[in-house]
Formats: sequence, structure tokens, C-alpha cells
Amino acid sequence: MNADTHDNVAHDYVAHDYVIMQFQQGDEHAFGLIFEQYRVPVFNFIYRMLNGDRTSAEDLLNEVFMKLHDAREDYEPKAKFSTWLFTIARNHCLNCIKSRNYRQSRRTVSLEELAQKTTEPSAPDRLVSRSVPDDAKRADLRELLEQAIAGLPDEYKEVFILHAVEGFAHAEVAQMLKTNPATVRTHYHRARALLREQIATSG
Amino acid sequence: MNCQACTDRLSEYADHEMAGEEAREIKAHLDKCAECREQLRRLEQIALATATLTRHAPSADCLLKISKAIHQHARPPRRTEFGPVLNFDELADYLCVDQETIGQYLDEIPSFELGGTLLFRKKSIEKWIESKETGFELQRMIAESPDAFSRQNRLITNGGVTWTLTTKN
Repeated sequence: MNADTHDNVAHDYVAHDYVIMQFQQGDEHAFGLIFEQYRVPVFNFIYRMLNGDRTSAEDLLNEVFMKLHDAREDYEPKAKFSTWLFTIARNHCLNCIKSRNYRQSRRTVSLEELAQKTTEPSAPDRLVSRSVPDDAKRADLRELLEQAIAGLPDEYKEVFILHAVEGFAHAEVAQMLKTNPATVRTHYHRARALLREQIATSG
Repeated sequence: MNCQACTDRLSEYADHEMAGEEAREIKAHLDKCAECREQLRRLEQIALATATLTRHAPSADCLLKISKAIHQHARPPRRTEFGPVLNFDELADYLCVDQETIGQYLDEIPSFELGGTLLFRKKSIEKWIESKETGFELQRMIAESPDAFSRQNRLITNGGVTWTLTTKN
């Protein structure tokens, strides 16, 4: 695992009400705490939506948090803070994908990069594959899954990442996407069916 | 139930999102269909693999850049309530400008010093603002010497605003 990845640990997405209130009043320290708490999940989401384009994802992360800062007075506590933040991140991400006409290069370049990564497992994966065959199979499946997620259509991909990877409920994802939970649920199950087919073909 | 109908709903079944009768039908189909059981096993594997996906994090350079941006971007909220005497920071908020701008106008803004601190009386600041107001200045001139403006039609441009004066006589 390199320096730019984190262990897959459950993240507490509930920012303290007091910190949010201070942030809304312009407290720089509170803004720093919020950035610290959400930088990894937000980056992880953007990075996956851009199919592993790290440079663009880091630019977007910066822009998302500056947007968050500028819009801080617009947040209303009737929605969860994390839902509001991911709504900003998601909208900004999709706008950038559209405005930069990014789709074409994203599909081709990033899938090649991901394919390279699958042939060059990271150090811990190599260690695992020598010692425990079952874990090696699991690592292979994980890599196949990474590629399959990158190949999903955007509307399925965002739902899959937000629900299955970042752990938001269907209702919360629906709030972010300004749609209803039933549509989110349908997109999620279609995404899983596509992943299953993709992995069955590749494996 | 055939295999197509089963696999179409398998993801919901795996997530226990399905109501009784339909779930029982799928379970009955799975009990006798090895191929659909394999599909279900793949879904469960995907769920497990998803839980172990790498969480990608921004690089140290990126964090440094954003931390700097946060520092530059963040500023305390503008005050909206003021006492009769303002300090330098309060004056900037009162006039809705940054402190640098206050610094540029310090020579002409009425102020007094107390114990080494530069202070500003709100009433004096209000008068100073009036002296800067285009419309106010024009009205004062007319009030002080109405004859100067009464015998001719004139277009007076002051501070980007054009005033048309009407002739009295």
C-alpha cells in the first residue's frame, strides 16, 4: 500500500454539530477539522468518478472544499452535513467531467492505467499472494472489481460508489442526486448486475 | 420462475430487500438451479470485495496546497453590530472593506489615538461617509448657494452620476 492510500476502515461521517456551527460562522479551525474529517471519502469518491486520474481528482478536491467554504451559510441542518458535502462534490465532479469534455480520455487512458496496476500488484498484495492463495484470489477479484467499477456508466457508477463504497443509504443518495430512492435502488441493482457480468466475463 | 427472472432480481434478494412471496419464489428457484446459485455467490463475492477496496487519499502535496488555500480563504465573519467607538478591525467590517483598504485611507478617515491604539468614533465616521457621498455633497452645495445653480440648465457629472438641474427663473 503506498502513501496515498488508506486502509479500508469505517469512517465516521458525522461531523460534530458544534464544529459545523463554528465553520458556518467562518471559523478557520473548524473548516480545517471538517477538511481533515472528509478529505479521504470525498477524494475517494472523486478519484473513482474520474477513473483514477489523480491530478484532476486533486484539483477537484481543492475546488470542492473552496466551494464548500463559500457556500457554508447555505447549509441547513435538516440534511446531514455529509450528504450536503457529497452533493457539492458530486455536482462539481459531473460539471467538470462535462465541461472538460473529459469522458473520452477518461475511459481510455484510465482503464489502461488500471490494467497496468492489475499486472503490478502493490507490495502487500505480492506478500499476500505468496503466502495465502485465498487472499491472492481475493486481491485478484478486487482488482477486477476496480476495473469493472471504472467501466460502469456514470449514473450507475456514482450510485454504486456512494452506496456500496461510501456507505450512504439509498435515501441519502437520492437526496444528493435529486431523485427518488426507488430510482437509486434500481440503478444500484443494475450496477451490481453489470459488475457481476463483467467479472464473470473477465474471471 | 425462470433463470432470467431470477437473476434480474438477485441483487435485491441478496440485500434482503424483497418481500415474502417473491423472496420465497427466488429461494425455491435457487434450491434447484446451480447456475443461479453461482450468480448469487458472485454477488456475495462482489459485496465482500467492495468492502475491502482501497480508499484512495490525496497526496501530501495536495493536502499542503489545500491547507494553504483554506488558510487564505477563511476569514472571520463580518461583524454587524458596533459600539460608539470602533477599532481598526471593526472599522473594516463597518465599512464592508478589507483592512488593506482602510490602511490606504487612514490619512483622511477621522481617528484618535488612545494608549497607542488607533480608534474611530462612529459618529465621525458617519460624517466622513456623508462627505464622500456624491448625492449628499451636491445637495449640500445647492443648499448653501442656490443661486449658483438657479440661472442655467446644467449637467453636472459627479462621481460617475449625472445630475440634471432645472432652471428656477
